Amino acid sequence: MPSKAIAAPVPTLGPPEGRGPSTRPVQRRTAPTVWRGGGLFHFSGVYALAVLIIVFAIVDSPYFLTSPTLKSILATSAIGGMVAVGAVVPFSTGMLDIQFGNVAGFALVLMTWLSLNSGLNDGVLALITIAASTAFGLASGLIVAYLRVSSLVVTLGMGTLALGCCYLAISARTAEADLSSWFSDIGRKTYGPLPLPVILLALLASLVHVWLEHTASGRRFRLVGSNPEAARMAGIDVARTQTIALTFSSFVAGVAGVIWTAQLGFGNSINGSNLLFPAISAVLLGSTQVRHRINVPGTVLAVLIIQTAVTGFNLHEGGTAAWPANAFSGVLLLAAVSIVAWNGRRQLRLAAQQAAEPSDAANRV
Amino acid sequence: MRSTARARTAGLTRFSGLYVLAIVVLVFWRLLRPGVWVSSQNVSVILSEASVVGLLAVAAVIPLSASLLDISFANVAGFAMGLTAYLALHTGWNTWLIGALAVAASAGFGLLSGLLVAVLELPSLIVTLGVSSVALAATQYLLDGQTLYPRARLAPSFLSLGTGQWGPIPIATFVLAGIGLAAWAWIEHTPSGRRLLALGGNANAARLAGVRSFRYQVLCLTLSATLSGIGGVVLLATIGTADDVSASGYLLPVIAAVFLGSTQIKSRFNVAGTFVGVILIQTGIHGIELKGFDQWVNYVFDGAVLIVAVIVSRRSSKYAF
Repeated sequence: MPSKAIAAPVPTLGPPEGRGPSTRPVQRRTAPTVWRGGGLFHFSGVYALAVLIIVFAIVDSPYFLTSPTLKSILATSAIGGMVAVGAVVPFSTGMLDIQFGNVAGFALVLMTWLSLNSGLNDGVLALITIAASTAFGLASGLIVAYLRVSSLVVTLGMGTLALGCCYLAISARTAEADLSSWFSDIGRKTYGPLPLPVILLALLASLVHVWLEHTASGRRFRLVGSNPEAARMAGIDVARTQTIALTFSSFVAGVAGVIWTAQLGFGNSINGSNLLFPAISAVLLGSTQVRHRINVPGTVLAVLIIQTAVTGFNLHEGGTAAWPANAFSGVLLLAAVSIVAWNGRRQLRLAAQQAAEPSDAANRV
Repeated sequence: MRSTARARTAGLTRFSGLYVLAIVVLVFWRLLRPGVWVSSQNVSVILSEASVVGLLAVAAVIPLSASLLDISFANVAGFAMGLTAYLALHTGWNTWLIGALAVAASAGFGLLSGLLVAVLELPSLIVTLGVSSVALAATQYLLDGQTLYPRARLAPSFLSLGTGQWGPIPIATFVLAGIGLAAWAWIEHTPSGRRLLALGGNANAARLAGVRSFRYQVLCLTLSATLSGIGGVVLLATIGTADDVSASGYLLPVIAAVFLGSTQIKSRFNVAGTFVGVILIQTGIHGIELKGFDQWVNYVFDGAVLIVAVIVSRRSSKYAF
């Protein structure tokens, strides 16, 4: 029973199917009708972003609307955005992945460590790093899918193993990487106002979006996420799909970590842990945007909102405190899911008033 | 079927943790000089560290009994720790009053989670994730990236909560024992505790049987945050300093202990089994520290124990169904 309770489908805001009759799915399923009113809820994040930009532009008029600020927002969003986009895949597949932050941190540390301790070309090092990072996801995926245990706990454990590897390599100090200039350019080069990592993020997001939404193989992941039993009966290899999803997320985290090394030029063991909460918040916040489920454009939008708020706030306060990132991602997440749930309830009440028998209205869905 | 399966394994699954514990103690006892490992001093250190982990583990077990996942306990504990230290340095108030305020403020986070889960029927994981971020942000705001050293401003009676001993047993362990006993008695032996378990077993069936799920969801998330707050305050009394990362480090050992505990004594989350898990993990960690290994061994041990625990718990839970 314990594992079963936790192995329940990822709590998204979409209808939690496959849980048997309950009052919850009924309320959620009615929600989209309200959303259709002018796209207000589909794209509330875009409005929120616009409001944030206007507010910060007025409050910090000479500084906020400048190209360095834009670059700073985009460059800081890039790595967090990549790992969040990678995490969209396991989350869509009905799994919780909380290792990707530490896996990205592992890639950062391993790349840094290898650059100091081996004479190989940086390109080779990047490949080794990405392969090692992917191995964490593969291990989690195999355990979760074939031994059927809770993804939350397995990825928590695997993430800690990754953190242990970071401390094994460079312990608690900050290590300066020894990188060739072409490699550092990957993280630092800009094209107009766009830093290269952001272009890579856009590329990655487009690929993952097209894969998940517009190809048969991608839709299988979503089907496994929404109803594993139906997916199995439709001939989908559920365990393999789950394994691939977790592996993919770690692969992306590895790539992001390598680019992060190029961007920062140094590595610290705790860096990766700071990616986790904002990225998960972005994925869940994104599920209230654009589509009524976890999706790539919503996630990227959420990352940009959180980062704009944090950068604008820090600019105003004149500091680089750590707390605004956590505060904004937490508050925005709670606010977004509450608004969506509240609308679902309002819709249910309206439906109940219209129907002759309120309880019947619930049963019909 | 369930009872026969249990009888056949001769308690091996139900109490495997105790066997493993015995092996761990023996192994470390062999590795180290005799007398170093099994000394009352070591027992005190293990118990002292286990007290905070144990308090947070009880905090996690209560909502898990109702199938609510609360992952905010570590950051809420960190918040209580930070707030107590901050108020001790910036006000002249009585330390116990400050501690009580910090626990009350922590309970506020739990009340918020509970209301969001119960009123809006949001998944507890998402809510506690958000609340956890907010609690961490509040701690970071208070501490401003610094480590606070409020030891000199804390009352001696308060510090003895973390460092004092009655005989070889730390006072914090008595606090834990009292709270753990109360939680165990409540969940296992009172009608309201059984309703909580019923809610955890099958929420719809429990609701149809007349259990007021709203009340229990708010109650157990608030209780969880309150106990986390107490854990954070005890942690401050133990180590005497506060920063914004040390409490987050408890997330993993606690979850490992709770999942390990769900394989012990009963095939579900339970307080007594959790204590076996806590003692097992703390003994292992302390053995590693005694051997003088680096920090990384700790993380690898934690991660590996958690993964093995959850695999074992999945295996053994087939007895429950």
